[in-house]
Amino acid sequence: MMSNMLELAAIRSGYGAVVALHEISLEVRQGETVVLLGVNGAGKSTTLKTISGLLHPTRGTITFQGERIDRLAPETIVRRGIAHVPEGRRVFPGLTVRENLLMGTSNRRVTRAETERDIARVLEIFPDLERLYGQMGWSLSGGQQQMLAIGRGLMARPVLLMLDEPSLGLAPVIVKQVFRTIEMINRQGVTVLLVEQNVNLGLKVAHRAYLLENGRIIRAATTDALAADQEFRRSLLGASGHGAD
Amino acid sequence: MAEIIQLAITGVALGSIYALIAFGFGLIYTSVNVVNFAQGDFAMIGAYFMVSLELGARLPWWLALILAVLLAGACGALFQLLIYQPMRRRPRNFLPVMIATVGASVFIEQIFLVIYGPVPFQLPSIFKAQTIRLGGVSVYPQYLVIIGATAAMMALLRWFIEGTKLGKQLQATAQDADAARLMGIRVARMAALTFAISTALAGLAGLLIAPLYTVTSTMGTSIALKAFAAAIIGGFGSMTGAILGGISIGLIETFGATYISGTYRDAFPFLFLIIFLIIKPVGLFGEKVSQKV
Ligand SMILES: Nc1ncnc2c1ncn2[C@@H]1O[C@H](COP(=O)(O)OP(=O)(O)O)[C@@H](O)[C@H]1O
Ligand SMILES: [Mg+2]
Repeated sequence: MMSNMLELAAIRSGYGAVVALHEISLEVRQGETVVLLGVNGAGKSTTLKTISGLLHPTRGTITFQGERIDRLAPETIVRRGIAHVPEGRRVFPGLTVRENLLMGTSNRRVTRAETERDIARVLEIFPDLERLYGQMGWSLSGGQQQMLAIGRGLMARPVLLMLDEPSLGLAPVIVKQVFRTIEMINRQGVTVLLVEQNVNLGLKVAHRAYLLENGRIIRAATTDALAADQEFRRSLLGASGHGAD
Repeated sequence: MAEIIQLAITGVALGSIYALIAFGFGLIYTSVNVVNFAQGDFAMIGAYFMVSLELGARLPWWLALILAVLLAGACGALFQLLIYQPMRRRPRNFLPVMIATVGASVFIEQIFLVIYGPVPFQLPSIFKAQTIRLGGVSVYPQYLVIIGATAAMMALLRWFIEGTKLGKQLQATAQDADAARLMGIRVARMAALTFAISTALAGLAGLLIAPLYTVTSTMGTSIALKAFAAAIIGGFGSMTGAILGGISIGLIETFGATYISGTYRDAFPFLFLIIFLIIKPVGLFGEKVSQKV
């Protein structure tokens, strides 16, 4: 199935008077992993925040599974099946790992048994979390917080999972683990929209890519095409300084 | 010795009243970053509702008490809808919201003055006996009612905040509102719930202390001021802190009034607050409700 799950049409968005996105259009199809690439400040996080409802576009439309969502609140959008794992992880510092995961089910009514089953599924993906179960969010390392943040996103049972720089600040081994997990989640049927500064990793895990620059999409292509494009790689790797994985 | 025990019980009872309101101050502050200066008026509201339900509608005291507390909480939810929600999304709303609560406080007091009139009401103590004797010490039973009811309320609240999913969602919202929204937590409802709980606590405090004084439209003012001092001493948001802060204020007020000067009874708590702040500027438990109740 290659129908569009998510479609942004000529979206303008930003922060008050600051316009961070100028009429961007993109789509994500059912079952894909799509990566948004671009240097710091290009507008990647703003794109995700506008999709999840933390920001409202001042122009354009966002359609998800055939319905307009651009005027909905984040509380409502996550109920439709979009989970946003934000930049900087945003784990609840004063809640334990278990409680953080539990909060992920706030988008629907769940039975206790369902909750336990979903928690067990997340612990299967991130076995390290089991050992940290009763620890407070603030006491976790960056990598542990990232796993918790992704796990908490999965607790929402999303059909579209949006991840904002999941590799940021993590040790290379952990990064590999996180990306293997993203691939696995996608194979299990969850569509993924990923923001990544690490170009090589992003190209490896995703099917298609959009390149953002100053709030505009300057290129859309399959990752295979971009990976083969020597000049593209040179320009972006040079600019972002995040070449190696 | 008997007198000291008697005074200690009085102080702890008064302190319990301050603790209930102090915890409410902290709950609102840590959850939505606002100081609600109308908090004392909800003590007054609770007392007046008790007057109407117990003396007016002649309900049994326990039913009147439960209804009065719930109604005070409902008024608190309405209050946040009218005062806090309209300004919630504004940047730098801390000062405007605080000033709005001060204005609302005056307004609420006037409304109740119009409804109930200027003549103070007298609420009966829950137990009719004037005093009871506890091993050689005679105690006014309302003090024991206050201490018991406060302990029960705090235990209930602790269970709710620490032991239920809704309580955890309340904490999550206080810790990171945007992240909470991304999880699907309805933060506007959480704010309403926070105000409802805090004002219900104040309402309980008001109707518990009313039999010791009289019910007037301004009865909440000095109670809330001392409760605010208790919240500062205990550290905003910590339940243990609110209890310790409240009790220390209650004890200082009671012993100061008896042994130093009755005229200056309201001055001792604030003198203590000033000295305390010089020694320990962040309060006893300078932590968030979110992190530990
Ligand atoms: N909270 C904010 N207020 C004002 N401007 C912001 C805010 N966050 C980001 N911006 C601006 O919006 C633009 C895009 O930022 P962002 O989407 O965070 O970029 P990226 O995620 O690609 O690094 C940048 O110019 C940035 O300075
Ligand atoms: Mg970003």
